[in-house]
Amino acid sequence: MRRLSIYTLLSAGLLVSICFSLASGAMRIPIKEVIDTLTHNLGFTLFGNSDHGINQSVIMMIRLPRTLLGILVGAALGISGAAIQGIFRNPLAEPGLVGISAGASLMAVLIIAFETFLFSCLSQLLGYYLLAFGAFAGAGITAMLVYNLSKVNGQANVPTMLLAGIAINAMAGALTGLVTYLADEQKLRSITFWMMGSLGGATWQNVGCLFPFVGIAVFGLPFLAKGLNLFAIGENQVELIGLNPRRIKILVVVMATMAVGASVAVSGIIGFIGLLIPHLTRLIGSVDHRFVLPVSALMGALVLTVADLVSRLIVQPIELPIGVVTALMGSPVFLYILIKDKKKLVN
Amino acid sequence: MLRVESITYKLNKRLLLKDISFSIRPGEMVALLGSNGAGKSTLMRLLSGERKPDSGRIMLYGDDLRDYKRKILATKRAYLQQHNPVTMAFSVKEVVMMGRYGFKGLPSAKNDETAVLETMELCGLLDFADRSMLSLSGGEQQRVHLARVLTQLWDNPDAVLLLDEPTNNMDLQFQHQTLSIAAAMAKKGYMIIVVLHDVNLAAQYASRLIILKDGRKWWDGTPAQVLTPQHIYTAFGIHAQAYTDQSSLKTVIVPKEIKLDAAKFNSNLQAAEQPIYNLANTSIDELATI
Repeated sequence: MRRLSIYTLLSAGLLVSICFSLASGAMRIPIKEVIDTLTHNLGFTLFGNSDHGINQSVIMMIRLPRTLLGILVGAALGISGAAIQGIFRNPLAEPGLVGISAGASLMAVLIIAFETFLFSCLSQLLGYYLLAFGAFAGAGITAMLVYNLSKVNGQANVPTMLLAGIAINAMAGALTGLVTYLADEQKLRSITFWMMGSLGGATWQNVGCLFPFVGIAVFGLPFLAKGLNLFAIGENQVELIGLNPRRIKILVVVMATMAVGASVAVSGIIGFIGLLIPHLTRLIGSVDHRFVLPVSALMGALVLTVADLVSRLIVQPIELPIGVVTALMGSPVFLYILIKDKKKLVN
Repeated sequence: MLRVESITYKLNKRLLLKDISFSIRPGEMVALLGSNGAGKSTLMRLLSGERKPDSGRIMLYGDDLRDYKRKILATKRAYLQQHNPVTMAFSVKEVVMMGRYGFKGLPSAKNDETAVLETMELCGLLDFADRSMLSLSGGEQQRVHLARVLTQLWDNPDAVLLLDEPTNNMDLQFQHQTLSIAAAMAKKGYMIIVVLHDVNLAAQYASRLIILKDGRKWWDGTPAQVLTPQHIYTAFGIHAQAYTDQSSLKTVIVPKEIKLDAAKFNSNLQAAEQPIYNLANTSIDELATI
């Protein structure tokens, strides 16, 4: 019952924030017109008048893709964070912290910097897919690296995991810096965009490119929820209870890194969502992954939509990088977890 | 039945188990005894499939454990480990329910709810059902995991239940409750193998004892056959007397107290200590100065 009301509340919140996101910005558009435009484009008319000219173009060409991108990226980061924390058996394992995002961004930067030499013949859409797959590969490699580095007697060891994350973040950062030096003026601009983390580059094209990557994770990961629950009582118990731990681990890592990698490819590193969202979900509901995974996706979408709204409105007309907003919201939560679980982290 | 055929296991060139063979019939409850490092837990890890023997094999109803399908094996064998750390705040009931996670689609899946409730009642957990695992004491957590492995096998009396020091951290009542549950399961036909440190607890509840020493099987038999003062001294290095309790006819072991000479005990403290006077050799005059 409680779970149902959480779902309802979050969905309602998401709908409201979508409407606000479409209505607000440099040019204010009345909510009624927003709803009108949306319903008209879905094929039916609610208020009779459906021609809003320039407003309609602003919504359909600029704001809707951006909002959808925020929803996809938020859902991807939320659900991947929850799944990766489940595999690592630890609430601190976040894609940004353990280096998965850094690995993805390094690959993305490499591809941007060298694409002219290697893939000049590719069309733009294919280029986006290449970027997404490259980022996915970077994310997957770092995830496996960190997991295997931090595994002691079959269980992820937390201090080692965090230290490995620091090392990988530093290494990826250094290599990214190196690549930036080698890149020319125009490449430099696109690379800088990736490093900041922003939803500003949203187009229908990259929304369409991101959708399958995130869709597979959001619909696939909840099927592994029971297996992730079993990881909480130990990797060898998964096998004894009759599920295949290797298969679960590989599927989780592949789907989570696919979503994170593709998100990083289109929007750069947006920190703390993967950490903050699953933790909030566990606080309000339960730690059962059958609940945590879908709700983290929903809440991630909601929070990122709101964060994007804040980043656009707070210092108008300048747009704050969204990473700044999520870090402002996320780091206090991170500190709270650290203080609360300080003793547990030591042993 | 379960047949262990001459298994040997090495870890980093150290021989941990050497040529161990025994078999267990349905309805038997076997306790594994031995000093620290004798190989009890290693043997349990091999039986649970966590480690593979270097030579020899383990047969369950005529088939090698390695040839079983994972899902089938999960209905025929459960393993309670010594340490079961839970890192997330799962509720007690959900952890017990995890024992049934592998049964989706199997006919026994419809009995999930009864299995969970009955095992939780047996382990005294009904009042804890919605509590978080992280809020429980070590002994209470151990009871939750016991309920979980019982739940896993609740429909299959031809299964093997492996318990590695199940009474760890438990209070006196639940040490006995746990072993009486195991004994009752054996009566229903289950095969029980339990590692214990308390020899008297083993003699009270198990129908058969196996003593390991240095990775080999030394004795195997009823408590009265196995628990003699000589055997206890060889296996554990402590003198003990063995009695037969007149009312229950169970074997009872009373170890002899170990006495340490406090004077030779801590050389760091010796220098600072008062000189020890031998009164017999001290004259009256000297005594007056003390």
